[in-house]
Amino acid sequence: MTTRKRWITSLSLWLALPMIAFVVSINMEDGLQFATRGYWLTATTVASEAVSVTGVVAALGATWEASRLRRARVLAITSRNRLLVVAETLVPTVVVVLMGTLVSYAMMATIALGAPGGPAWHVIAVNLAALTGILGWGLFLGFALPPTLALAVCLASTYVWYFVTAGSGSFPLWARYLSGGFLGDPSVWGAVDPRALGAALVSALGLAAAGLCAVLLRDRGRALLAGPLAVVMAVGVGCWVARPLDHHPVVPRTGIECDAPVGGVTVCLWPELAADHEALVSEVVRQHRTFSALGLEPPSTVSAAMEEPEGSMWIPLVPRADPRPVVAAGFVEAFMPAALPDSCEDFPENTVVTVLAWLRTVAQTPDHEEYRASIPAEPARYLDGVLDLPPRAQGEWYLANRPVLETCSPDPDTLDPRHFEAGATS
Amino acid sequence: MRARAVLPGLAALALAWTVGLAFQERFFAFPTVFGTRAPVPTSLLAVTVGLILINHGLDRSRTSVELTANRPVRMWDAAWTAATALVSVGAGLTAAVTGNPEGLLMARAVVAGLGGYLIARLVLRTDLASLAPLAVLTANIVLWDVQTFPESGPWLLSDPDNAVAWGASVLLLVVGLAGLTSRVQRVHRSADVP
Repeated sequence: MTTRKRWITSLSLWLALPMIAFVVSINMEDGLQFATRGYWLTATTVASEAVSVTGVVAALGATWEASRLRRARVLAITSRNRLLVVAETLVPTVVVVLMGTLVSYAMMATIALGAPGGPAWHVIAVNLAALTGILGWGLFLGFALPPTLALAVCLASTYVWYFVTAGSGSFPLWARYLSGGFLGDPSVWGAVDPRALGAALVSALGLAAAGLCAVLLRDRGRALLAGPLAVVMAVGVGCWVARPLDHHPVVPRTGIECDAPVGGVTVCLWPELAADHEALVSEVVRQHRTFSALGLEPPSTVSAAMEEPEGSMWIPLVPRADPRPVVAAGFVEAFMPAALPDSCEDFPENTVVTVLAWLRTVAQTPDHEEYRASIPAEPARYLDGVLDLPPRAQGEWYLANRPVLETCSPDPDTLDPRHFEAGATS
Repeated sequence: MRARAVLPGLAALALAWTVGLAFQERFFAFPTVFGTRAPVPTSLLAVTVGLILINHGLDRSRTSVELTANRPVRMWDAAWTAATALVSVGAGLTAAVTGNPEGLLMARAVVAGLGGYLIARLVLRTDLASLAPLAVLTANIVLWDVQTFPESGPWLLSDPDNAVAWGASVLLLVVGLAGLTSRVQRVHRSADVP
């Protein structure tokens, strides 16, 4: 077959345009809208989500080519290396799929251009491995099944692999990591959990092995046995690796560097925040003093990393944002409990609302006036009472009510600020 | 019956119906060209996948021997296809009456899927024609503008009792059956040798 005919008769080439339209659409409506800007790892992981589209095209293209080879019995009669014959027929598919992948990476790179470092090559490697794996699965189906079944089974199985596992509640949340396309959207303080990458890699190896079995084993019966066995074993190991993960496969990022103390406060920032370094440090120090004046005694080290250095206070700082509101919001988040009760019979609703409104007012977040105006009458009354208290009494009020926020209990009596008026606490 | 893989086909379709009805409250989020993901009933995918073996069996009629046979093979194929569609509609109605309206969605997908396959095989190669039911479903999903039409999607994803969607599905099946029983049939194309 001539190169021209190989390209013109390639299913992948005909699917290239809708595939790229799909990739562009997904990134424009999802990745470019919501992903953290100025952080290469996020840009890379979000771009890799395109594998759910490029992977379907890769599998269909491989099945198509393998079906043609099977019907022509080329592998049975060729004197050339069987892998080479298959590789030649897969050229259009590989080029089209890589083109789609490149479009996705190029689009998402626009949100990280100028940030320190570069693309996360380990994520790209897993992404390419996942594409190789699904290519192998397509080959297996094309060689193992009759043509009428192969393409339809391929499309159905890739739907299940990419969409049903990720989008249907019938599957556990971690099942989506096996396909290599859903590796989270880590913020600047997070990194992709290596277990998610490992699960995707192992599954991809199993799928690729199935393709190799179909190509290399001359006996179809053996190929039909060995291929699925490789897939089941690899996906089984992948499940075992991914099983402990929840819906967000992100671990705390490490390796942050801290500045010399300023005004008694040590500030640790990621390189991605270097552009606003001075403004962030001064704002952190200012907020630290504000909360210290209330008697809340925040740690002397404020860090943009979740767990570094030990004993520091983490505030979530995102790159390329106005330092003042982002630091204010960070301090509010740091002083609110990490996990609010969400399935309690008795829920300290007024306490949550009042404490949050008070923290926003103290930190002077840009929206604190609007939030204050939007809360119900009872918390609003408590908030007015708290803000009328002296600073130290406000701090005592917060410290008395803060532990309640993490419990399934009704609003405590201490929510009423009259308990903290002069003389009431003594 | 053996040549058309009737029993495996029926078993696969029955299994698909069982899975579809068991997971009728489950949806999977499918990306669309409009960006917003579409909530697609798992039952719809299950029942469309269930058609694969039925279509595989029907495709065996495209051999030189059968196309030149004296016996009315194509009429038997048409009867088999129509019976599959009718039984599916019956199952869908029964499911709907017993409080499972998604049964009608599934029945409509079977009718449209069979019709789509029969029409596609008039012009397409064996393996591409077998993609028709899933391709029709995929086109419905990816062209669903969820933000503008949040309640229901186009054709196969519209409300179970949408008369226009039912009409289009039945029309597709009728045209497909007409194509099957007509003399315009193609033998399997010879393979492309690389």
